[in-house]
Amino acid sequence: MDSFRIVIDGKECEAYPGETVLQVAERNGIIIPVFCYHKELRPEGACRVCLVEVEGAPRLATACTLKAMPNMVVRTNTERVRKARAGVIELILNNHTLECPICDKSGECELQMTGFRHGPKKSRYAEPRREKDIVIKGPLIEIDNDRCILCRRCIRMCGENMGNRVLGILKRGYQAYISPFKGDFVESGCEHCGSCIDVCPVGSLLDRAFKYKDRPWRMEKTWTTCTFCGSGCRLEVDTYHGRIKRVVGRIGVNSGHNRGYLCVRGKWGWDVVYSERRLKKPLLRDGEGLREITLQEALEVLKERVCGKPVNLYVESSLTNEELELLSAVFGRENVTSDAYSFSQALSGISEITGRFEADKLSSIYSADIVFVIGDFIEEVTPVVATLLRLSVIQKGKRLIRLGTFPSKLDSVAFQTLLVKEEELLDTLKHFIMGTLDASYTSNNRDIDRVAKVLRNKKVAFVLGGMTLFSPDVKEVAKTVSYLADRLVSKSSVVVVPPKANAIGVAKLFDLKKPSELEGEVNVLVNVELDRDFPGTELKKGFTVLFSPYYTPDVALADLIIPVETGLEKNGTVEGLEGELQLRSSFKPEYSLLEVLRALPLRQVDIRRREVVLNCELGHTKLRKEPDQLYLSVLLGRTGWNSVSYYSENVGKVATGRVLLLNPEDGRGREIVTLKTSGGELTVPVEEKEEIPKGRALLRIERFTRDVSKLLKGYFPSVTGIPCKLLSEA
Amino acid sequence: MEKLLLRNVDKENSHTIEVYLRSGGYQALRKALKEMSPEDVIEEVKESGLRGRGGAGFPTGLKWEFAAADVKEPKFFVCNADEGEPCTFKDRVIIEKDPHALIEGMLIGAYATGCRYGYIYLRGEYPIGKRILERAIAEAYEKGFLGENILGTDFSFDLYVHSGAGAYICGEETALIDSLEGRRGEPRIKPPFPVNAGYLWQPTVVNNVETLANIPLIVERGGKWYSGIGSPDCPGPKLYAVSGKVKKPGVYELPMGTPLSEIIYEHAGGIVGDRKLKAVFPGGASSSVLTPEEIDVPMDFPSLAKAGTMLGSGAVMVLDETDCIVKTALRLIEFFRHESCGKCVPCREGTDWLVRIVRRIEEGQGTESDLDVILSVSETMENSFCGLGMAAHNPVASTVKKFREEFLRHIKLGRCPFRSG
Repeated sequence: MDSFRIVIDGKECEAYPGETVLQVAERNGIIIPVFCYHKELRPEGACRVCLVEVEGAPRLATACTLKAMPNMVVRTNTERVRKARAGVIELILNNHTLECPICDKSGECELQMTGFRHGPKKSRYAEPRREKDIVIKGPLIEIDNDRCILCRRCIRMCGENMGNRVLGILKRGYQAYISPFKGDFVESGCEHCGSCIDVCPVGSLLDRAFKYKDRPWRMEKTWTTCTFCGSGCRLEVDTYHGRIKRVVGRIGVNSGHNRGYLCVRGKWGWDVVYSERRLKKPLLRDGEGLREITLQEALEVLKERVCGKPVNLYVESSLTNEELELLSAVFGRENVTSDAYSFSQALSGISEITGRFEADKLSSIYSADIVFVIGDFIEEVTPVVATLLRLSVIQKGKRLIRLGTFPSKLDSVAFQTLLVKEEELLDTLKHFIMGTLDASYTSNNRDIDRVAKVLRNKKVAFVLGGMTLFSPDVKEVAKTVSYLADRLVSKSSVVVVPPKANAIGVAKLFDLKKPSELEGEVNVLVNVELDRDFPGTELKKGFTVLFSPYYTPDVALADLIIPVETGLEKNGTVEGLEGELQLRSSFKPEYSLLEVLRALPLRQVDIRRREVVLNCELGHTKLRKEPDQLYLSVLLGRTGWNSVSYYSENVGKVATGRVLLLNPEDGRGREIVTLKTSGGELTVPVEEKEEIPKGRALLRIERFTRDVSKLLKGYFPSVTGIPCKLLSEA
Repeated sequence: MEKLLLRNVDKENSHTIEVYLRSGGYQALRKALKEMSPEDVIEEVKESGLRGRGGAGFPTGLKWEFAAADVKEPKFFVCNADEGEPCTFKDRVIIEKDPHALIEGMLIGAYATGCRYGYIYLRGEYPIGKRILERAIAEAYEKGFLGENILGTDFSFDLYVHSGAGAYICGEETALIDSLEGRRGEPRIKPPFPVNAGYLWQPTVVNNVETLANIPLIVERGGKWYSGIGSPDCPGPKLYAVSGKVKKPGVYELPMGTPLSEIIYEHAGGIVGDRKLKAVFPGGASSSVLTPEEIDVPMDFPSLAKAGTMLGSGAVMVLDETDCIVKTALRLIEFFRHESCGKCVPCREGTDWLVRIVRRIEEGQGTESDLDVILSVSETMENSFCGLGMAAHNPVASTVKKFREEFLRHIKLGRCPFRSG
């Protein structure tokens, strides 16, 4: 696109077609005050603070909505503009509460700053202040409408960028106020991503966990990476005297690939650090019970019972690269299993086509024409990745196509959604391979042919993620997708969204085995929760060491338990969607995994290069079931992922229960059913939903417990595509 | 003068298609479809010099030309029948007494601009009008004037009535479109204008009821004939809704540019009780007030703009010497405060502040510096998002300017001098 010149305040500025005057001014260091405008949001033009004078125009124009035109001459600082601006700010301030001394936003409030810089110096308001006195309290978010300036950033953020449409305006004119549509956050379907709080320019939308807790200006700000899922979001941790007060994403300022967007886990899950379930001391099984020991004693036990022996290493994949390196140096890397097993299967599927054991970066979606998402519940497993995919459509105008089994939030912005049965996923992908090669090919399905036609000769970014990564077919799906990408224009990319923060690091470092294939004598569990990370498996017999930040159910299985730190207390790196991500912490935890490991002797580790075998033969689905059976999928919800809702009091407030979602034809009006798989039985309440496809049973859980884990017996690493039956009477 | 817009309203059952057909109805549509190309129709309307009757006075032919030039499909034709300003009731006459003239006008407009679907966005408080319009549309479908292949041509058009929910702001065309889409009615950013991105972001023509009622006349008798009526630079017949302290309030059809004094004294019969005229709002609640010395002004868009006010919808509100100007200003600004959608700061906060100040003055608690505040707040309100906010301060600011003495009397007396006791 050809740029052109415009003049702002006498300065010649370069502008591009489609840019607004405000954007050009911002880039050239000319400050125009704003309230309703936000970099990440669609312009609204409602606050009228960014008024500027345009030569030749009779009226003042709002810079946020005014498109730059060649030879435009704009003035932002004339007497007329200053007066109009001050007039508008005066109107906003007239009825604004003066609660600055107790307002959480004070110190980083945009109204304070803009009022100070551009506002009137004296109030002419002689009327009594108008009070709305409408405070709406949700479990985590609170709206104080007296402080609200009705800039509607929150509404646009919630409705357009996040796609939730929870917040809206009730009443009109001077009585208008912000509220969740149904009056209540949870009932209105709030996901508690906290983005509304982040973009609120004043202290109207409040983080209840932070309310009255501290002052913004005196907290120490540390940028780190969230390790609650594979999105790898960059976030700011605010601490005072070594205690975390809050976490903020700073949308629009954040330089991470998440651009400041967070989810409920990242925004509110920080209090896992102060969980009551944290382990305080090392424990040793002694006779019948556990007894507290010192770290020194624990190290002695480790050296005596574990070091030098063949170790079964169970690692949870949100550990840092540094920890993983040291773990493998101390305990060896022959018998390693991880919850990233399934993810590593996807990478190995890709490697059979490309010869490289890796996937592309998420940022490749921005240079593609089409974003092709394969997977269900990306918005539950890695919510921020789903947000970024959504924004690539809304802000960057990409075409999004989604292939999956269950309906998703992303479908509302999708160019085309293809919902197929899990067992037909591979065949559908093969139709695309044929359809993109041969224009006359038909799959006898109009939608598939339509998508194949769209894909032809386009640069496509394939994004594989969500629950599909835990399907029995994961390797074949990844391989077929990679094959398809290979057949399209050469720059097409395949992104696999890791379910956990360092799944890529674990998959690359270790040659992972299934737990049943382990051959060691002693077990070392690091950060692991057996039922959550290895559902359907049993621990091998032998002396068991557990490194964990929390008092998990596995404590009962362990002989030696050593406390470690949580992700927010670590320094280090993880392999994320965008390469290496930094973890930083401003305080020192009492027990550190790295320090424990450093005190232990290293062993000889022979590092074998991973052998990649090229194999372009495409396989078939492994899903098999009897005619009267259903396919069970177990979904660990947004709040429960990584057990956040179990350890975090904040997130626990918005956690949901366990429920089985069925199509009404399968549910047949039953309120409670017993679910039976080859591994076990589970009695759960039923919720019937039209959106759930027939023949599927979706078990939504908040936490993997023993009984759920039993259902999946023998299916590790799959949590979806499990044949099951519904027993009529409970 | 020959009655043009109101030619049918006095006939019995004028709202039925039989009466309309008997008086030569749908002949203009037949002429347009059979003898004229869409370009011809637009040319004819452009030649007539017809300007929108909704208040802004935008040339209708030009609007149609923009819409016709847009290539996006489908296009929508919307009739703005959300007549909600106090003392405005001109469109109601056409809706209830001559609905087929409106439908015919829409059909011709849709043909000229290539619109496939039409909506009449009707004011929520016109339930009778809704019944009449729905019946008229059913009749038109029955006779083959609506639906597929109208009069055996390729032109198809479907028409629906959409009832508003009682918000004045939905008379603003972009807010109307928002409301039509099922959302909260609030004005949108312009550009893009509705002719390019309106209903469902498709090209949409929005015309006022009275504007559309003019169309059959123009097509039937020619733009040249039409342009000879009334003022040369904005010709045509105009409906003036006269209310207030006149002997014969009502809707009067007069040529554009009829002097205000003639409307009040000749057609509306002068002031009640032959009292003295005090003030006139010549273009509805959002226009600036005129004093008795200024009423010789011709009632058309340019002349009133020159006089510092506006024609708006052509609703003439007459006040006599017994009326309190402060009370009037208070009532009008209260209306705007109630109807402000709350989207932009100047309108939302400005109307409320003005109400509070004017109410204080009316109650005798005002000070002289309040008047300066009123004028300065009004100036800020000029920067509002849409026309509502930009005009909302007019009744207050203009009365303060022209009737400052009376405001000062309230302040000095400490009470309203017109209130007994």
